[in-house]
Amino acid sequence: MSLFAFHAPAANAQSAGFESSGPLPGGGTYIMRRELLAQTTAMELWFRAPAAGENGESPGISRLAITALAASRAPHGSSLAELVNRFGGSLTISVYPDIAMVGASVPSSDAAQVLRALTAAYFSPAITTEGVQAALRDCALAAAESRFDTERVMQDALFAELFTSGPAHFAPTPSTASDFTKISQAQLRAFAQRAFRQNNAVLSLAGSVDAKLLTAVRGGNAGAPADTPFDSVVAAAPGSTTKSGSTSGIGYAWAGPPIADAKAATALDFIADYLFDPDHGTLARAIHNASAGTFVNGQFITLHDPGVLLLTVSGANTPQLRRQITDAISSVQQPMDAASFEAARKAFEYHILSQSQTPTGRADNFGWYAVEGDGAYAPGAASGEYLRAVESLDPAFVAQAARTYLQHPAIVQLISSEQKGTST
Amino acid sequence: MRRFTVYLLSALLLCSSLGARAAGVSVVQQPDPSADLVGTEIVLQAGLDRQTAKQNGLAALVAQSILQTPVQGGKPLEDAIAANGGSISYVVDPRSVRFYVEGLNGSYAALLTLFHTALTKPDFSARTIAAARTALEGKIVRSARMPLDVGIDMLNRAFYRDSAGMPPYGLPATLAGFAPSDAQAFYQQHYRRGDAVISAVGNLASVAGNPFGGLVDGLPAGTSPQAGVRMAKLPSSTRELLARRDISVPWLVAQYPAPDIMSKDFGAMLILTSFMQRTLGEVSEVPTIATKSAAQRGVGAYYNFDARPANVILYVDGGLGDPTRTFATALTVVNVLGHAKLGGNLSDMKSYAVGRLLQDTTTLQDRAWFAAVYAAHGVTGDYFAHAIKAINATTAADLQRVAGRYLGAPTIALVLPRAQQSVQSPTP
Repeated sequence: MSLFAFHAPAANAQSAGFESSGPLPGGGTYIMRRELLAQTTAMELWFRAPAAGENGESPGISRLAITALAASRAPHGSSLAELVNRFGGSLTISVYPDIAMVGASVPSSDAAQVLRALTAAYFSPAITTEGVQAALRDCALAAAESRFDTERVMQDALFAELFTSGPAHFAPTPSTASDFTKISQAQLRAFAQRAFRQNNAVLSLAGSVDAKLLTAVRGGNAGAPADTPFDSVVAAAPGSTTKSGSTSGIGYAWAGPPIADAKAATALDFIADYLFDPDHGTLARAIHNASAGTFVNGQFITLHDPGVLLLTVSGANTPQLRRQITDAISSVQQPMDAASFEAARKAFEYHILSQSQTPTGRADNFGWYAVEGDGAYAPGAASGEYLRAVESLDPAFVAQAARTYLQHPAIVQLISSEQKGTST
Repeated sequence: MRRFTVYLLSALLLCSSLGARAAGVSVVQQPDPSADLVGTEIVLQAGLDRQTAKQNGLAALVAQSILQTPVQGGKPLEDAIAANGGSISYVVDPRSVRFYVEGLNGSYAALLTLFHTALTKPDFSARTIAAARTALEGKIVRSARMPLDVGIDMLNRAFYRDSAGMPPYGLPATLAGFAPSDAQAFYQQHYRRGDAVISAVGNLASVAGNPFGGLVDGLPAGTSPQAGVRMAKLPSSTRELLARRDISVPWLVAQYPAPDIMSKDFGAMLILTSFMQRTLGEVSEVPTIATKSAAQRGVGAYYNFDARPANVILYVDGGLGDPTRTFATALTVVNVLGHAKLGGNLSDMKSYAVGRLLQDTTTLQDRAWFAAVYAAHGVTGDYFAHAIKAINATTAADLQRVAGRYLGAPTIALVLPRAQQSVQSPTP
């Protein structure tokens, strides 16, 4: 055996004793991962919930509802946001086209109290008028910020182009505050009751946790069984569009494999890491070397069906840049040499596990993959499915996956205000 | 409890001619069988304060050359480690250089072998030095675009009375003057195992042979001598420094002296720092329901308790409005804390301080660093418990005393856009 011979992933067999999952009393499911040295507890509630409502008729309703509940004070008590802040913790609210998440990271000594507040706030949703007012201010700020976030602008435009209908067609956070103010309190309460019912929840816990912590869960509105994942309809021939922004840029989005096709999805993850990783990605480095001041963001977004390979470059949009991107995509459609592939795969495996080394990173992975349809496939899960998929990749398969999926991208060109009126 | 272990390698294992303390390297291990990765921080006393007046940037050039040293089929160490499932980075501190190697459990022993090879026999050939110089020049350019970095560099230049206040990567002009022999000489003089600290964390049992203590056994025995440079005082009679850079909005960065980690005032300063961070945010930012990440915050405060002397940095991004007004408000609050004992109990401030400390130390690298800071002072045990105990032991009188003693007279750096003529001086 040489010094650098392949070692089978050992983490999963070892981690099996630290992970558990199952149904929550009263509805919903949980996944729990204990990390022995952790001093903090990450707890996240994940829900399948279309960000703009069932038919896209209420842009921003998911963000407004989940934020209003975090800001609503319990009778004679604090809001979830106030409680987490008091403990020096972090409260996270993330709204995606098809799912919503609210999570907290707090010292483990405060975990039970915060978990009680978290589950009480969402499983028995009681939105207060003050909570709505605070959430409206918060959402208006998010809307304003999103207009200047070039990554956000390009991603929303790409999804609108790639998907003709379904949640992914709509921006998860509208760019105008008036979208939020149009939502009535009755609509908001109805949405919260339905989306955040306990049966529709995945509770993801990581860090300093044990089974006793689950006794802090406060059950409430069990409601109907969990929704199935909200898929969107892919355009037969995705087009290109032009948007104006604070800087120039270009973005691409390709429809990829569903989460159920774990090997192909992992191959797309590998391609994203190999090309787009900001520090080591071959394309990202080439772009930085050629155009200082650019920012490259690329990832495969694992979704129920289909996933999306996304690439956005802000700060430039030149013919040379577009040629670099086209050449890089063409290059991964041919098999890599064995040595380069092995090095890239090892690096990829490390990047994946490095990103989930904190309790919050781990809880994010578990929750996301569970609501997208396959919690066992989450990177770092005790099942080892993800790492087995990584090990099963070979140069020919990756090239084949690239040829299959990276053919017809949606494209967005971002024109900075200085460039308006000129051709690109 | 075996969660944390610290031991000194026997002098006999390393060099039988030296005494145990002199030849001993401090090794801290925090085993966590639930972790998917292993990380090791290697701290050597080869930081900025080892540089003479003519060696500005040499500490970074040596560290960067180690990352560029060919180790595996001619691949630089940095690339070889990436290709084997890991990463390596370094930080040049005022008084030390810290390498951090992180990687997958299964291949970690191989990563450490690669690092050991480069650390023991670094390549200081003209080619490697040139590559290292290019890499450092890129870091200098990037740092010059970061107003916070610019401000801290200015403040450190005034704060330290020796070469510890030199810029971390030197200057392009000084880097250009170093020959391979300069790097070799600095390495031989200051890369010593006698004052090294090694801190490993993660799934240590998965690493065959427990190689952590041996990482520096290829370095010469003994300790690194200080350069003993006395820096000239800045030609300014005020406590305000000013620089202009290609940035869009002004930044204000302030620095206070602070107690070190072993001081009885440590807990109080942790509380005060977290309180100032929260106050700056409340004064200057639009409140949000979700917590802003460090990258999203335009204001902040952090406590360099690992520095010697320790210090506290406050910063305000002028993108939120006039930074001097925000800072003046914070100064007023600090002055009140220093002159009046807080009524009631401090439990909320303590809870908040504990929470922020723990939130800021969740990665393997954070944990390895935190343990190394304590180990450098010969402290064993559960390091987070030490810090939390210090916070919880703090009284209102402590808080008033520490605020009054340390937070009276900051040195302030204003980093202005080139086009901007002036901003008003902050006055409490």
